[in-house]
Amino acid sequence: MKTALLSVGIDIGTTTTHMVVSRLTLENQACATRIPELTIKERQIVYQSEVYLTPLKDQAIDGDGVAQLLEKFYKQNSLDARQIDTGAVLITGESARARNARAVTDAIARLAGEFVVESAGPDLESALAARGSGAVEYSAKTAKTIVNIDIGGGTTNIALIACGKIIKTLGIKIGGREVKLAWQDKMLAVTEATEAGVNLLQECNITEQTITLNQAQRLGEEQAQRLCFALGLANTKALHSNHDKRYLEQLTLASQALTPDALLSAQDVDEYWFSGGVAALMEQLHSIDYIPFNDLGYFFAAAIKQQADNWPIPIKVVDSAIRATVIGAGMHSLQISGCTIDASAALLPLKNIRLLKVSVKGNLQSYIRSALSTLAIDLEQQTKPVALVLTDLSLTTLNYSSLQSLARSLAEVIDGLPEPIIIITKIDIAMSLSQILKGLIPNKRIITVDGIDVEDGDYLDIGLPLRNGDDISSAAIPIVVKTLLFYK
Amino acid sequence: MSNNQSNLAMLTPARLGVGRCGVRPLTDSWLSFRADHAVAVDAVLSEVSQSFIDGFITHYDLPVVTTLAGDRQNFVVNPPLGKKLSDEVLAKLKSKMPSDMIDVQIVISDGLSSFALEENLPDLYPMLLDGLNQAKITTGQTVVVKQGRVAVADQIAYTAKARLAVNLIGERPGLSSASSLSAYLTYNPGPTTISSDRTVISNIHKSGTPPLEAGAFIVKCILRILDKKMSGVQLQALG
Repeated sequence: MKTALLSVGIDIGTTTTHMVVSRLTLENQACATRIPELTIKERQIVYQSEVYLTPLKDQAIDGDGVAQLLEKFYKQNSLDARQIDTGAVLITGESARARNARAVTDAIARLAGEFVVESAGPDLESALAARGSGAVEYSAKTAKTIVNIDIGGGTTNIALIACGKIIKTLGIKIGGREVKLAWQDKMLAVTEATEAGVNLLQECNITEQTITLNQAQRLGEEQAQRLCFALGLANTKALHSNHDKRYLEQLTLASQALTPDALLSAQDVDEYWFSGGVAALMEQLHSIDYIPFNDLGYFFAAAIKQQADNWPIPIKVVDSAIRATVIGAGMHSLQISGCTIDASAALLPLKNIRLLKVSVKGNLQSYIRSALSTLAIDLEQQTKPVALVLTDLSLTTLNYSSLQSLARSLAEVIDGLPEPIIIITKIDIAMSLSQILKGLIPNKRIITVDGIDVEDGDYLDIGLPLRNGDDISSAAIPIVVKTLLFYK
Repeated sequence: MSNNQSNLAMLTPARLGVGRCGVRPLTDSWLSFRADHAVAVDAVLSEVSQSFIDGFITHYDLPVVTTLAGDRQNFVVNPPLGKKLSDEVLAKLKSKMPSDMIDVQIVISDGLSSFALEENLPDLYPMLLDGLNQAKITTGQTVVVKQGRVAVADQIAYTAKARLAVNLIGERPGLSSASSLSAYLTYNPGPTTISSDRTVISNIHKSGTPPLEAGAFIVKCILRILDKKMSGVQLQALG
């Protein structure tokens, strides 16, 4: 009986790269007389790597460099890629814009097992950080409304959480690495600046290559002001005076995106949580002889801390702040299927299954054909199984005869698909659908899985059942939904 | 109510933070309490409706019998009577049953909610029959019991010489659901059966375990019980 999983997370960010291995413990949350519901009960960080600077080569991520870091991490902890049950590799923040993102994931696939999740994008990152920081869990337990603010080198990812549900997410291009700094003869040298960084310098009327400590602090305050504006917290008067118009528009858009119904107004939010690399610095504001990561992050963190201390709402810098996103990735990428699955263990595990989203509202045959052609999949050539994701199903309208007719039309169309045929639904009908299908096409190997949300997914891994015993009432299957989102 | 409290209230159909006026509840919450309570009382006191008899019961051609309790009022006042059928009724049923030993005897009992039968069986029952047929599990003559309790299935299944009894029975209604169904599965049922011998799947209704899925799930549970030759606490201890 296996009720714990080892999950690896690798975060390749704008500034830093780090890895975490966590142990996820599963537990049945339903009461004894009900159909069991397995959920992740506890996550325990088993190993965590040092925080490395992201290896770069010619302005792009150095895939081999990342692979070496990963190898080193495994070696230090005597880990073998085969011991890892699941996991995710994330290319986050500005790094995801690098054109070689895909090449990087290819380079490390060998070491991350086959659990590679190539993912990025502000919505996903915000959600992952909110999970990894513990804000989602805390909100679910206390029914409080939390805003999780994950500040990294290139981006800030914000999530609004109420009752354990992520209501809104927002990614903005505000980070600590927009200006790189280094001590030089008791002055700070501006060694590098991004486009946004150049704007920031202009706004603070800084034209010299070396600046004073006061000027660096001023840069940090400006950056903090922008963040507050995006959060709908700032006194915006100052911003309207002489700022870059484009930037202002972007921020206004950002704050509107987050607060159309004033959900984020101060009185509705119970707590602000900070995570991410810059947030981690908020707790370590000691002497300034040394600038962590040689960038604006330190000053940014100091300014936020100062401002936030005056907010009427409690703030919290989460433990292992810099690792929030990667911890979240290890949990989020893994979904445990509802217990009423139907799959024979002999067919599993399956890796990299293409997802085909098919609406049940019309002619299934034509839906599937068009879904296949959109993805340029030739049915005759297709030898790998695909997964049909049935959408637009509703428990309120489904009854015995409508489920039967759905199964009949499914039986017809899945005839040409390679086996095993995988059918996925969000609502709880896997066992009943499977039973009817087996009656109709008894010789086809079919796997039905429910309770899985694959809205954003492109590919799927289906792992081995978590319990090896024959008790179907407690069997569950770990599912990894993979996305291929890259910044455009 | 604070934001926090209203969030909490959203998590449950229970009546949290409904407010008050003086020592009384607000009219709105008082009315909805009365309405929900009335539905629950109706569920307990109602007989299986004529339309259910004409529809479902006639369609599957099921015999309907009544326990020693006789009528609803007596059933509610004297619950033990709901566990037994008279010898005459049992003898009559026996004449309709196959003489060979069977795997599964299905019993449908109104229990404390006839609504539960009407709402869930049209989807659950055919799923259950299909699944048992597919698995080549033999079933006898399904019996509908009025004023019936869980244990009545033991007596019927014992008479039918069934290896396993399934009792699909209406649950005691609450203020948030009056049409919840349970399935009690008992291996080797008979006069010596006790409660710990039963495996139960509860909360079968539209907002709980959907009846379609429950039908297929019960089939799987039956297969396991027949395979392990045990049910209830003993089976649960296997893990």
